[in-house]
Amino acid sequence: MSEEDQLGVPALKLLAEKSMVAVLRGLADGALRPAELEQALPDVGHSMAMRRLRQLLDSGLVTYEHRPGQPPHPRSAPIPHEAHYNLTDAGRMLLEVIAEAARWELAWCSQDERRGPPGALAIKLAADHHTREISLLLADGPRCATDLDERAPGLGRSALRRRLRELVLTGLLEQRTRGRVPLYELTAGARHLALVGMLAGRWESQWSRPEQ
Amino acid sequence: MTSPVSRHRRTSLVDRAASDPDVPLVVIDLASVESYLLVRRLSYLAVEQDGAVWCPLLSGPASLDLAIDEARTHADRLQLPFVRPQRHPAPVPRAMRIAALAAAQSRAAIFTVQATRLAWSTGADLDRLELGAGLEEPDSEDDPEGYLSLMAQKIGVDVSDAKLAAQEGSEWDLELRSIAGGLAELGIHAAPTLRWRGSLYTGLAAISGVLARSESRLVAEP
Repeated sequence: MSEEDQLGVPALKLLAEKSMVAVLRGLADGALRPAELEQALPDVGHSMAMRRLRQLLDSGLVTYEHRPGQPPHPRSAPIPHEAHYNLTDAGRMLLEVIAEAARWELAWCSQDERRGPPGALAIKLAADHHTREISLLLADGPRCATDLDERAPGLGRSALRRRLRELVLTGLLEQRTRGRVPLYELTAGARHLALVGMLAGRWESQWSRPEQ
Repeated sequence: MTSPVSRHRRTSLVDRAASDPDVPLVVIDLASVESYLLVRRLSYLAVEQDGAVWCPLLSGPASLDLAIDEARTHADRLQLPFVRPQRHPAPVPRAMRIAALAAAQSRAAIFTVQATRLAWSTGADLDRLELGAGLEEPDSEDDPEGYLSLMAQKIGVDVSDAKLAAQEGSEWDLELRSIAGGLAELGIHAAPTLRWRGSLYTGLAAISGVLARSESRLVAEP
């Protein structure tokens, strides 16, 4: 099964795109015009906000009000700036994934580790291919670095070890030495992070997968 | 090499804690399990970027360092990994000198989070960070400074600067002693200690009480 076929991965990848969480959260409280959205998200910037709005519109996660009788806006055209943009039901349910990601950050991250809008860091971690691959391999129990290297050869030995260290420092892995061999295993924080992925999978099974 | 932190910057850090009793002050010891159990929550209460001061202090073992089963119970309750470092509760002066460097950069909280997480998630010896902390499998392709590099990155310094800082007799060794002197004048002789709204709280139980009282506000934050 390719990575993109794994349930939840396309949704997580969409959410992990730069400023996507900020734009979705910006629309959480109700319909906004593009200028109002931009004003609410000063760190995002005009062109990024418009790009994400366009992407959400094309994915069916956002809709806009247009005058009765007017045809829907063509995909290739610039988005209408006077219209009010609102989350669709599918877009609104995606906020639940972001909310769980934000809960994960509050439970497991320090203040300095949380960057960007709440949930963005957890989603970035959950969407990361190598983090998910390592987490899946460790889901059944502890393994040593050599074992992980054999089962996940895509990373390469040095990069794998670097990633394992990063995951230890992020609080997702612990390491215990059995005999003389250090074994890595998932922490409670890592298992909680898997819930973010599961919610993304549930969202995907309920709604058609967003177009990328 | 990264640019050194100026003496003025460092002096102002210690002065700030001393001159204004309302500045939140966190005193940590990387060797103490109590610092590990408290640091994540403390990072929300006393935010360095908002003016809080974090200071490393080489301290004697805290009460939970001497009651390891009780410490394990606390860690289990918080669902935190608990792999006791081999030399615990021996002091870790080399790592504490790097913590002094991190404090001068207002990065002591993140350094403490990562260093204590490393120690108690792996049993690492924080005083041997540049040698792989005693963790690595023998592997010619591997980088023994791996953990130190990642943590130096978080502070915003080169790994070579972190290694220099760690040395006995380095300017950060002097800084660590100077911080200890300044803290003693404030009546602080042990870690972990929190100064919050002018009052001092030392040890896990006292600090947890302060955290619990402010936690509801923090949970409502996002």
